[in-house]
Amino acid sequence: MSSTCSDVVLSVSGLRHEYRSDRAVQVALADVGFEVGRGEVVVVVGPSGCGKSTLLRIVAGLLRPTAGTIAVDGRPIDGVPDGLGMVFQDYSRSLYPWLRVRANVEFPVRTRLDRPERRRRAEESLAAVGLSAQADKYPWELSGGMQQRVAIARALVGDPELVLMDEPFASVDAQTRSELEDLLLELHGRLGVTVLLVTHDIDESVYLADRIVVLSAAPSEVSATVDVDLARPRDQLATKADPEFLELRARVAGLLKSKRDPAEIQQPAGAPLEGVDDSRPAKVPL
Amino acid sequence: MSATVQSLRAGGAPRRRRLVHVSQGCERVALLAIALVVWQLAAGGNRSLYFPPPSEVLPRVGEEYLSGPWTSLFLGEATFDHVVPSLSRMLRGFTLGAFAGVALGVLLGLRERARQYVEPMLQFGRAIPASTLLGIILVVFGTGDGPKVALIATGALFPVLFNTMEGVAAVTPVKLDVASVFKVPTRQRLLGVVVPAATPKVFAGLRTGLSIALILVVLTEFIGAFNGLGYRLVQAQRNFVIVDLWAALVVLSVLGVALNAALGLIERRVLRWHRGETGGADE
Repeated sequence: MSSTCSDVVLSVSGLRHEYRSDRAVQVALADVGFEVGRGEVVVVVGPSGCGKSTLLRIVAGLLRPTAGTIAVDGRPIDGVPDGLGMVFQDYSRSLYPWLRVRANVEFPVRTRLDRPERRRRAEESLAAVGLSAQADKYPWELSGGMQQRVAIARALVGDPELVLMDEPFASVDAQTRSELEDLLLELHGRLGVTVLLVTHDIDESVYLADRIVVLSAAPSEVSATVDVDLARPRDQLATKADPEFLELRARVAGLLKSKRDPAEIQQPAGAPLEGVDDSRPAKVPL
Repeated sequence: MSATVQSLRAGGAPRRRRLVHVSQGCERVALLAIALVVWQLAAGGNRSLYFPPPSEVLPRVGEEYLSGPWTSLFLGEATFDHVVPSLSRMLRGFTLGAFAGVALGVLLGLRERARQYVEPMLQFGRAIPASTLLGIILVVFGTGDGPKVALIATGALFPVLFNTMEGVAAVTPVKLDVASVFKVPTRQRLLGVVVPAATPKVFAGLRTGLSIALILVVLTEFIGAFNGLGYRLVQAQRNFVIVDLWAALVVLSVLGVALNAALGLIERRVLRWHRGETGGADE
């Protein structure tokens, strides 16, 4: 690791998380490790309840792991790392309804930059997500997709080293979802941000990722790491029709399926892909 | 999910809406006027000693409270002698109680452990009506303005404290996560997230606190006071000047309505976002 130190933004190793419920100790994460390189989009997929969100909360410093280390830029981190941006799943709760869109975006840098500078940064950030015209509105005056764009602008305003996204597009309709996916890819291409994103949607993981970390059901381990070499820029229609895309999608689906229920591996081909959608509605926000 | 509610202003016909508001306002005031007329007719006939008609009470209010020169905004002697002292005690007490209530409420709302220890004590504190402390306060601290203000503050404190505490404890965790992840300083976390998120609850407490403060100011002026509307009431009663008694009551009610309206106005401004978010925006 030391040789590639400057290229690795985030390094997670031996991560374990246990919690108590009804006097029993549950193991959410058994042993999770992976790395995220500078400018990479790494997507974590896993079946519902496998602790994907827990993993992200630990990386964000919101939760203490039972064991394991997290290093950002080669330095071990205890707590919230510097230069972090985060987009939460539930935009309606993560945005502050008492602040207008502009003030919401300025929130992370409010005490860090002087007024003209943070104004400029917020304008830039809002322009990047295509919401310049909505700066003076309240978040609740916007549609769900627009609200999540505000949350993305807020995550980017501090010029973050690493952006964490916790199922960021799970609460919007399918159309908006593809738009937001493309927005993320565009921002990544333009700004070169490093992204660690969690999702339960296999298509989304393949479409967005440079690398996919597949988690097993709890107690979770990394069951495989899949490199995605699909050309960029990607396109909702062309990329998703690419045989390579389909192959990767099937592979990830197969990995998830086999870990979830070994008995089903014997099923004929095609079955694994169908089974995948089961996990979609199961994840309910708190 | 309330998230996708789009309560964008419809924008249409604001003038017509205003007219509707005005006519509704008229209807409501009309009922009040009818009540006054009924009172007038009922009391005017039998010349009751205890229930003088509005035609006697209202002129008396004008004479006593609104008969000054224009240099003093037409406010009469009784206004300066009694309304101003009452108002001042009340506002000082209420402000003190409100600030203490919000500060303590935020503190205890955030610290669950501390809350668990302190809450039983606070429950007892709340259960004792502040008015019953009047005797003790008079004996120990005397009849000055300080003890009066302190008693009013104590009365206003509890509803504000409990509501703030509840509001703070109920702040959606993800709102605090956002503050943590972006590493904002504690001050911004408190004043920029916790307090605004709790304001709807805080205002509920303030409204209750305000009405308690109004009750208490009159009460503290019943005994050991030399001015104030409470003093005025007792004096009028002792001297059997029943009209003066009624006049003071009218002034008190006007004061109460005005203070409530003022707080309501502030609340409307401060909680504009809340009405919008919960879909209760002005249509």
